[in-house]
Amino acid sequence: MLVLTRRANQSIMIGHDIVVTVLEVRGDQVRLGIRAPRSVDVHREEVFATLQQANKAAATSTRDLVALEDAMPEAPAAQTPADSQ
Amino acid sequence: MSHSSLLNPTPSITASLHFAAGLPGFPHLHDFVMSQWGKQDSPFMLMTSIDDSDVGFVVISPFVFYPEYEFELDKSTAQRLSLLDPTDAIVLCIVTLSDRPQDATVNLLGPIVVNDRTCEACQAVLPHAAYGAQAPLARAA
Repeated sequence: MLVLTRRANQSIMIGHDIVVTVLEVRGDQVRLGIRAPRSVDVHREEVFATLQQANKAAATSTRDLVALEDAMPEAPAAQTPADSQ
Repeated sequence: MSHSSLLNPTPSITASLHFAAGLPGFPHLHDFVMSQWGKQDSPFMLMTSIDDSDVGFVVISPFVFYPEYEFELDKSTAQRLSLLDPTDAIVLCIVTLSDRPQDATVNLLGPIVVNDRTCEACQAVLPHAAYGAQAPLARAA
């Protein structure tokens, strides 16, 4: 792992189009600004891990789906936007 | 967010969806075919990978079970999907099935946002933990 020391308002470049800037350091918290191309997803690591796990748990072998198909919870009575007013 | 297309509990997506960045955990899967899933008039849809046809996700409009669900789409996601008009957005959430149907959960933390015009899609992440990744699908009535 590469370790760099930076101060507030200093940045690092990752590749040629990702810039991570230290905006503020306060106590044990660091605020970062990240500039990256649209094709790059930026996530908090723990949130990304949660989503990864959720997606892996949700991914279903399509062959197994038929058995479950008839047993799903019924949707509640349809609620239109007008009803909720 | 109170637009009709977002609140439409059964958006009819017949085209295939393109996820430029894949899905977290499945970065290599980019294209999915949508089909109806379940009994007739079922609100569930099946999103089957074109790249690996054995992989599928059951999805549903979150508003079917959670009519009060709402979030603000962040700018970068909107830009990435070229979403200029919120009326073009369709929101779907991934369902995790279980052996017991009543144990099924829905991922409200990472909704799938679709640009209805272009069928570009991505899995967004809501910034605040207002919603969980495993919300119970069938809530006590």
